[in-house]
Amino acid sequence: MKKIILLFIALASVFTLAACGETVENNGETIDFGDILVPSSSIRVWMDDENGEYMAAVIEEFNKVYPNIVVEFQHMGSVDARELLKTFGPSGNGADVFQFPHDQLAQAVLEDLVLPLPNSLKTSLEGRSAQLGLDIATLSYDETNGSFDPTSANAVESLFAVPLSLESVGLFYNKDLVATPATTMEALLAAGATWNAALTSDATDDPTRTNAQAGYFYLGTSSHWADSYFMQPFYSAFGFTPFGANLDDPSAVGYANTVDALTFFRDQLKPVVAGSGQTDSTSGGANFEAGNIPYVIGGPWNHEAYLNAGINYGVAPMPTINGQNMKTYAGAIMAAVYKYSDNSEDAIKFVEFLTSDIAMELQYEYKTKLPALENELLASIAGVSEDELLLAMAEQLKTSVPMPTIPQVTYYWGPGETMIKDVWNNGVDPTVAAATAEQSYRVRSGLANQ
Amino acid sequence: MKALSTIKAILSAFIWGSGQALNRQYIKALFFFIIFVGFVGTELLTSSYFEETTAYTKLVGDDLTDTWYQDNLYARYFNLKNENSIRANGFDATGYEPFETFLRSLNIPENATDKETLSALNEINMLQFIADDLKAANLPTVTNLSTFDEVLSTEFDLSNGTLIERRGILFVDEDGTYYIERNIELEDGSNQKEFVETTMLHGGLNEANILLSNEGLIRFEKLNEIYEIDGTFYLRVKIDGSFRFVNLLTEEIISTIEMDNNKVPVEGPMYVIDNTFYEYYEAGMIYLSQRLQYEQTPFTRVFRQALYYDYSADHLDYSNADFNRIMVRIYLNLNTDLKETFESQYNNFFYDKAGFFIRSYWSVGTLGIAQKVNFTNHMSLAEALAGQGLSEREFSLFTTPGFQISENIPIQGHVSTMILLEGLIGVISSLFFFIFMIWGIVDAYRVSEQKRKNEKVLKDIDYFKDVYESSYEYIILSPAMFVLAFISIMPIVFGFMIAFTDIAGNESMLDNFDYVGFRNFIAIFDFSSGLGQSFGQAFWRVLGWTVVWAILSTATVFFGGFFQALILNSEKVVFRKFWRTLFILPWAIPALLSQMVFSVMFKELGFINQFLKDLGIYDLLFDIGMLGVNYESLSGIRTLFYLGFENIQWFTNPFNTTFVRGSIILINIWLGFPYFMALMTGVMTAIDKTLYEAADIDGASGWQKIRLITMPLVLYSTAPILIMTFSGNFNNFGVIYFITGGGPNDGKPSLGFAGDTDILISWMYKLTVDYSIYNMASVFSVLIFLFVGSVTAWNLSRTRAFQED
Repeated sequence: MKKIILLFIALASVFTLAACGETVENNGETIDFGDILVPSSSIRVWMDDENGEYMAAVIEEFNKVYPNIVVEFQHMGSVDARELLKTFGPSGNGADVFQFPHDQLAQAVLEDLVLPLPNSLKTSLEGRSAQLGLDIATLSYDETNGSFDPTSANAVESLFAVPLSLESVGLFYNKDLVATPATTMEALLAAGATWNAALTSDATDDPTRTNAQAGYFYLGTSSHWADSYFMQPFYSAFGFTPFGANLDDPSAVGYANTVDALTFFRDQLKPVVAGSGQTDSTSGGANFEAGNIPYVIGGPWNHEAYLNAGINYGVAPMPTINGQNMKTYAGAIMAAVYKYSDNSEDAIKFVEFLTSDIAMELQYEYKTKLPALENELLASIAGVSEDELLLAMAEQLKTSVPMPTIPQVTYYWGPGETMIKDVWNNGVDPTVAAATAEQSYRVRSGLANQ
Repeated sequence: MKALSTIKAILSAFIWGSGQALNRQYIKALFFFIIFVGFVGTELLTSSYFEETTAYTKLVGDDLTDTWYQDNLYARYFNLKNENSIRANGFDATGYEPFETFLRSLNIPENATDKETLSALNEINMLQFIADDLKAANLPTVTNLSTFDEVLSTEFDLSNGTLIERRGILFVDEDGTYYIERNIELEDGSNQKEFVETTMLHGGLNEANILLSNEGLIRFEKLNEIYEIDGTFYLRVKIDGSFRFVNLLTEEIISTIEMDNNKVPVEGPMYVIDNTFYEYYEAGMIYLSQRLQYEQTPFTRVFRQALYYDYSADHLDYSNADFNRIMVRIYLNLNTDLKETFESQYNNFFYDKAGFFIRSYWSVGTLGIAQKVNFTNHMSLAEALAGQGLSEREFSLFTTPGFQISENIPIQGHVSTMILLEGLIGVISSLFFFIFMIWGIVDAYRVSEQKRKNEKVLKDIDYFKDVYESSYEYIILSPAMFVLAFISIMPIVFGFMIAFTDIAGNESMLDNFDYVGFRNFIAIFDFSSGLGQSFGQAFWRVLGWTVVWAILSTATVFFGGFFQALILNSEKVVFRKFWRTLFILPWAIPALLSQMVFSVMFKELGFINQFLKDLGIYDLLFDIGMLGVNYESLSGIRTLFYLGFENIQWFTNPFNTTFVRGSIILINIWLGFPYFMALMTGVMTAIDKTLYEAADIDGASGWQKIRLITMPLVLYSTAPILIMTFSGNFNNFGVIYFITGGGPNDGKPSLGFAGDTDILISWMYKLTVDYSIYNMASVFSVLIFLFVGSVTAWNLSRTRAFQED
């Protein structure tokens, strides 16, 4: 037995060693050195494109302009990309160009993943890329003291990423259930109260139940009611934007200014949209998809599901509250260059190419996303001007506020969510909840500065 | 001679196999020597001991090569010199004096053209020359802004001048008091705005007058544009939206001046002395978001010209990265301190030169030294080296196709996590080699001793046969041990070492961090330190609950199972098999599923609450004040019975945490008891029936039989499992994380992010995954290991089932 094992080990090692010694032999093939001698470089691109058709088309176009840059594409979900780059980057297996959604820019900058793009690129994008998108992708940074504070003496604004597509939430309405969408929140909520008390038309269920009992509240949200991103339209109507009017002042997170909005949530919104339920107890998105409710606050990422479900719906501008506009957050999908990329030069060329007309056209063709271009340039992108849903969103974006991008924004969402939940679910007084949120934010951002 | 053996042993520590060779056991010697060659060979082959290494390999791009400087740059200079067009070049047929001096210092004769003599010109000294040349031509100067006389700053005393702050946003009140906004850091580390009194133009803060809000103040924005009319200087400002001008001497505000052609280009800081204005200019300095540029010299112009022809050629031999590289190198030559740091950090003997093993030991010991750098200041060379604007006559490189300068040139530095991992791999691998070394030393000594004492010495072949026979099991196990070292030992050591570092926060995974000794451990006991305030106190709170949880959850499932088994064993129960099957069902469902289901069922608006509401239990609870009452209004024992406001908050009650903790222990019974029930039923059936018969004859009561016969026998065989379950529950991540998520009150930094039902393991999970506080999480894992390990070991050693083993 011992002998057999010994023999086995010996054989195994012989084979492994033999494998090392293998040499490539010339079998008489002619090799054209002309191809090899062209100096070519390669970049790796992580984009969210599952079947790869969009990127294949983009890379083909890219290589028409830059034939010597080999682009290797790998599918990577936007959130994964950032996470994986943290470990793949230093080991040299990461991407040179990667994609992520708006809310992660600050995080990605903090995690030292994003290379600030050259000023020349920034200048060339101005007037071309949608201003909102550029605003989102721009941070001011003072290198003399390492501060992101825009009031810092030597703060210089730099562009950290290139906006590819813009998105914003909107008021989706089911055309079979409401003919004309409400223009004021007051009207919407009044109609909602009636609807909630009416008997459900859903025949499969107990016909004696009201819509509210069946969980079919008039207005739904495709997220939950404590999601600060979705609730910003309400906040804006009550005059609140986090981090001051310019959304870039880390000392002015300003939860205290949400008290009016919180009171509105508790006293007027909650009874209509959730009854006595919690922030996350209704599934608005699913109800809308099933055709059970007339309104949902949703984003462009919902279109696919709703269209597949055959819902006859449109996107209306956000209604007003007390005559004030509900301004949504403008978000953007962005592409950035990895900070420690070995080939940042070509990577920058690639992200620049992604904003070209042809790349935008392909993005629309394969991904049905609103290109992050100035409105007048949209006309040159085939198909966009006929797309009602996208145009409605473009319209909504005109009044939108850009997502805050200062690094401290990371610490905004958590306390914000807890704050609404406290008021909505636990009956905490809005003033108290806002103060607690302020405290949580301060401690967290303070902790990060240590 | 015992000493001889010792010498042989010592020798074989240095050159493995040498001791054996001296013992005249040549095959053995060869065996050890081959391994030695493998060891040293790996070290040498992976090293750069015999190569020149430079820190600049870390910069992307290629050098221009020495020949470029000889063939292109020098040739260009030579031609221009002989063209003798002094106006365009700034030098005549005698050449550019500093460069001629430089050539002389290299012993290159005037007008040399042949390669041999020019070979002394190389990239390194050329880049140094360009830097020196730029430095000499760009000494800090002071310019009188009225006469535009320029003098070196060393010859002019600015110290009694007053700085004019010409950009910034102030706020002014009705009385003409100016305030400046500033961020201050509060005690808790967060920021707050305040408005301090200042002056309109000269800065300075009056700390006695601080406003907390700028309400009622008028915005006063200084626009950094200076105009001069007839010797009077004005600064353009924007007051409340409209443009105005401020007389820089009198601070008088006037509404309009003649702006055309009167703008004064000022870039550096501006001072006023005796009513005269001066500009201080120091190339490379950053002032008001502007990088003060180096001015070109005649030689950098030649340099640019030479580059220009190469860059505008169709075949683009040189990339932008190459140019960035030149800029950074010249920038570093200008700043010798930075250069020294850079070269010492990025051309470290142990990291960049040493081979696999030495580098590994160094890595584990230091965690890397090179901090990441981000070069941006090379941009102050942009005008001198790349040219200004798009002027082809001035050979601006920006006119060549595709030319771009990177404003940011980041270099990663040593990433400590990677360094530590690579280091551990090297250290562990080297340990395997050292096994052979020790074997060799011991063998050399022993054989030598045997020879001295004239004992029988095994021949080489026989020796190996003997080794093979006697340690066959180790030889066969060695591949497994080798693999185990890397997949099991290495991660454990890695996690352990992390506990002694300051790795915490978002970036830390990709950053350079250091050892901090026992700081993290001390913080657990020292509540006054920053870490201790949140994590130290949280640790004891969480540990306390973890112990309570482990004891209670184990005890309840154990005795629950025992009780259930007793009932099932009783002969009075009908359908025993049916019941047994039924009770075992919860165990058959994957725990994760039932945990998730529970978390949904017990939600505030979940099925359980609805059911209780429908039953009318809610009304009862409202009546007795366990629901529908504000927690603040309760006191004493009643606080323990607070269930929620509108609904029973099984898992989210932020006030009555005892209730939440109780709920989760109860739910754990459902999840855990079937296992013990099944186990104990088995043990009970195995108990000899005669024991009970004898007891019956002796007239024992039922309780006595349980207490004196069943219980000891069952406990005896299940005690080890009881301890295992205790350790299991101590780390019962699933029940906590999937049912309550650690809440209520989780995620608060002041409480160390620990919720009220968080046990150590779920807390650690959140610390690493959600909050990136790796070092503290690692500290806790070390402590858990010590705690659980010692409790388990102590208990097991006292358990009879183990003692008898």
